[in-house]
Amino acid sequence: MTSLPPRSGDGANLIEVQNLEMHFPVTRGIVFQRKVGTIKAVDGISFAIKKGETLGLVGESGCGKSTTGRAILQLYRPTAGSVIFEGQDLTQLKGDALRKMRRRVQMIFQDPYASLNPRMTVGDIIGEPIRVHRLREGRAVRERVEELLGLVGLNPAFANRYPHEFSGGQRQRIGIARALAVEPQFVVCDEPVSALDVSIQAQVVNLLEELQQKLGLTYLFIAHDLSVVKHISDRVAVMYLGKMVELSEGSKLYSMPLHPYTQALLSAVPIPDPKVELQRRRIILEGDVPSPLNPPSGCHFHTRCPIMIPKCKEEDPPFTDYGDGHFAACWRARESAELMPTVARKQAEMLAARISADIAKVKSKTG
Amino acid sequence: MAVSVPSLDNLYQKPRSLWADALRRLSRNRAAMLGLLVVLFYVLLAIFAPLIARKNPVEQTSGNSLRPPVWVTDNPKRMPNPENLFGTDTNGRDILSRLIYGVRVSLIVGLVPQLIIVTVGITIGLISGFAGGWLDNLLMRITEIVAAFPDLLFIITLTVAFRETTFGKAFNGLLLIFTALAAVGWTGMARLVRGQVLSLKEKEFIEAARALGIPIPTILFRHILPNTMAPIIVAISFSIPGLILAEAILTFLGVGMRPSVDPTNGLPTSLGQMMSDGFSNLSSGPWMLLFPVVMISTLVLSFTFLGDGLRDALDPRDSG
Repeated sequence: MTSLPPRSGDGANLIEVQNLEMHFPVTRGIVFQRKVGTIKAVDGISFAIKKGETLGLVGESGCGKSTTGRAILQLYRPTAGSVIFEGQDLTQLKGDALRKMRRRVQMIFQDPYASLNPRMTVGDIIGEPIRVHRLREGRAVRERVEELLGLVGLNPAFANRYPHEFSGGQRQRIGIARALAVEPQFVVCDEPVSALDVSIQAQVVNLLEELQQKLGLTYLFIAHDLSVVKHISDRVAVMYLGKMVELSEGSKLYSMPLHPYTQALLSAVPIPDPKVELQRRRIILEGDVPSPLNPPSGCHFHTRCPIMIPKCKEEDPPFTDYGDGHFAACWRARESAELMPTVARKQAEMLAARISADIAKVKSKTG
Repeated sequence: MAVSVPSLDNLYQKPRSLWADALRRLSRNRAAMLGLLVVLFYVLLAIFAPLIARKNPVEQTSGNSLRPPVWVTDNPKRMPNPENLFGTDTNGRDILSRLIYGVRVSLIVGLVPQLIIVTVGITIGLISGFAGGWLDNLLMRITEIVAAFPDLLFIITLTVAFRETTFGKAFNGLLLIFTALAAVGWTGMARLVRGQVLSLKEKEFIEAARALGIPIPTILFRHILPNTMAPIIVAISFSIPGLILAEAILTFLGVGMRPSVDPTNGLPTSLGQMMSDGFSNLSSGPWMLLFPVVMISTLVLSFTFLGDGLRDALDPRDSG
């Protein structure tokens, strides 16, 4: 990889990911396992997240978003690259040092039904990490659990209940309380609202924003829903087949996407206005996502790219800054904006405006 | 901010754990409750055998042999003795008393090897499933080799080989039977636990525990093990009748328990032995075979009913 990690320069980065690679071996055989290939779930990505910032990470299923989150937290040990958190490389930590470090970086999971131990009470679920890290002792644990439940908007009296007695949204709040129990600075939110009803989604997203302001948290917010990401993120990164293809401030990415994949993604976001929907024209990508077991040569996107040139097949485009921290990995990034169908561009602008209006509406309602 | 509160009546309800829920479902299952009742009855019989049995199970009375049960009075040549409710055997021993002590042995045979099986099975299953890699590979290959033994043949070989040693003579040969049954019986449990661990390991709540820096032993014993208990309990209730039958078969074949003539022995006979005796005297005293057969059938059937009920009550459907 030749690309350098995007740095903010002022040293305010809380976490820096450099050339992160997560390759899973594919083996065959029962007694003697032969390696027959590698799944390149994450194939060399670099980015940084500033303190107090929310970085949205989007992409379709299987593009490596969740793997990236887990590799940062060392739930998977990355095959290469480094994750610098407060000057320490997490990939080099082992055993007790790693366990202690886990306090500082946490995760909120996608499935509120699978992420809570069904045999433990809510109080035990939230209290266990507090006891393990000795953040409180004795009766203070219970008090802290009740405080946390209040913080995420649940009745503290529910501490002695079991997860199956709660709804999906409430369970997600329990999951958030558990992550906050260890007083982390950085939280990976792995599609925290994808499994929830739309009406509940806004509540949980607002809760996450509120907590960020109250506790000064930094988020990596993984999602496949562009409007949710836009709502909460300061900057947005787009992944495709294990690579980061675009990274920019949210508003810029939505109004002026540089990468053809981002353009296609944006054109697929439905707009809740029948008049606009009638004129809507989607950029339809041909074919399927290639297998990460055997990704295409050069730019991974070239097999489906509407503006592909021969160079794309041969050389992997570098992840380059096209001004003001708007990174893209495309040989034709400078021209792609003009190549983008005008209808699609208009639509992207409308979408951006629409989402901003929605956010304002939701904020005024819940604020 | 909006506080998310379920309906108020929910707030004042008692919290329900999954175990409490399962217990309630079980108590609604009639077949299972009948099974549980019969099992409890036999367990009480076994525990209080010396108080319940009116005769010593090995005490022989001359001139009192092959008496039919008290209600069989159609043969004037052989009238029942009112002191022997279920009649006597060829040696004039009281069948009812022998049955009561026989249930004791059968239940012990169902429980002791089961304890070994569960301990070994859970240990190997947990290690294999959680560690993965070469250790899993090694342990599972060993398990497969043991599972491939022809069970009964192996147990018979083992019991015959060690029959005359002090080990083989301990507790009328019961210790040897326990060991032999456990030696081949743990494989199913190990595989079951491993499978459970493998699927649980990928669950998000285990990932969450790892992300929170919970130590591995805590993850194993507080997060994984309690979630494997439901299928383990079901497997136990189905495997107990298997063990009881296995002992009966071995003893019937003459390689199991030794007959005891010691009146102070707390484990003098087993249902299998009584069946063996009864089978060889089928024409002269059919009741000698009938009673132990009825006893062992009801015992096995009750465990199966209970196991069925437990499986339904602990259904993993609602464990999520």
